[in-house]
Amino acid sequence: MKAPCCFLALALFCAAAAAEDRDVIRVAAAANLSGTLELLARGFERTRPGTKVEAAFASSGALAAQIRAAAPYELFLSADTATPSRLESEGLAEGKVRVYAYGVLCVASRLGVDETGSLRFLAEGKYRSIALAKPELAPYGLAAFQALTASGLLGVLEERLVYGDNIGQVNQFVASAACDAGFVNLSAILADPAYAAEGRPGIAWVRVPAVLYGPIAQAGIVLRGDGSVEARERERNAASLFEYILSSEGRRILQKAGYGGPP
Amino acid sequence: MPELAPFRVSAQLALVTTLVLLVACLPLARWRLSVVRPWAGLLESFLMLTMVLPPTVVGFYFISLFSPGSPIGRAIERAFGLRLLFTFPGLALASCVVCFPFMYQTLKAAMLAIDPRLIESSYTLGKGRRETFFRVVIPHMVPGILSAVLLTFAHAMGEFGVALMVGGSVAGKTRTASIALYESVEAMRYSEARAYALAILAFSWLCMAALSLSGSRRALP
Repeated sequence: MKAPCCFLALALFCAAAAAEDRDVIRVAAAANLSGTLELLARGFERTRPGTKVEAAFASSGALAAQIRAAAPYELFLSADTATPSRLESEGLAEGKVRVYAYGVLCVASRLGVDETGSLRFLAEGKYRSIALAKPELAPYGLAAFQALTASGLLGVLEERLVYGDNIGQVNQFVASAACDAGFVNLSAILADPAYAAEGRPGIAWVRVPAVLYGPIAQAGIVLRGDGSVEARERERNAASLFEYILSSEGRRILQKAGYGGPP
Repeated sequence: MPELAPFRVSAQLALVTTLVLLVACLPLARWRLSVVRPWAGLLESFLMLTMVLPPTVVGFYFISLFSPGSPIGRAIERAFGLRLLFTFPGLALASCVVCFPFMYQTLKAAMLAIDPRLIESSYTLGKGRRETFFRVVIPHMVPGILSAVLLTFAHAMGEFGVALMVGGSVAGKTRTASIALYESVEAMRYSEARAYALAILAFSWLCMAALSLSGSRRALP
């Protein structure tokens, strides 16, 4: 008696899960969006009750590798434009590549920063470890690398640079004071109580002047499924989520979370 | 193109880890086998935890404990001028913690397999604990020591999880071979990734082959 009951329960559970699955939109999102995507998802779910957004966060390169290996995602929100464009040219995408936000790079340190935005203060000996995301993998890492190069600091600091796998790990290094300083995204700073804010002490931070790095245009793309009826429906759902992110309401949420418009 | 530096880092890491653990675990295992109290078992279970703990857990606590912003991290930095996070000594310490069970458990098993009468005879002949340890116990567990060393070395050589969490991928210092492989996959440099993966596979297999061949040749009837 016990075994058939268990089996029945399992079958019911699977059926329920399958029925619900159709309304789930699975998003592969760049690590810098963690936190922000949740706000966007909540806004979207309010406009379309019943749908549910599930997100996986990693560096854009890692996500692209997963998507190539047919990982089940319907929407890819990258931290750059090149990675989604490559997926599009490989025929893995359903729609067009569109820029949804511009990243804002900041430098933060528990030992204080230069409020003018100049990076020269990092040359001081007390900043023994300075974290950035890997420049070849993460756009925020590349931007940090460009800013250090433009400030003529790369040679001085080379020995002190520490690399995070993605911007999320860099944020962990800086927020836990494991590194003396680090290059993080504004959205992480605004979301994390470890950083100083108006009327609240914490890790000091300042925006890196936009002239020091190339714009961090973050683009996304709707991905192509296996062509089944269910997959088409999922693609449509994902497309409307992307439309929502690009709408004025989505843009307002992104701006509030620490993303800028085109420079 | 795959570089050689990550392999050098991995080899250094494996060498340091193996030596430190061998020196620490031999007396520890001997001590543990002479104490049968439950608290010794509890202590042992704590040290053995890393066998089942995900490296992410170890890495997370490692960062929280040794960050220069934490009391322990600050104290170490003030006392020794040494920073553990994102440096080779720190990575080596983390690797020792993670690899500890492989060395300790293998040594303990080998020690337990020694005929106790040999040790008793040594005591009866008037030899002390220390002399018995060095002249009876250790010589009788050489194959076990070899296995423990090979297993620990191979495991430390392939160290990935903790290195990813606390290493910071500093070229020539904390970027190990398996981290280099991971990065080339992420950067979609697949031919480079293939070279790294093949080299690590070949080396690990060599270690395991040596382990198997050095083991007991006795057949079960």
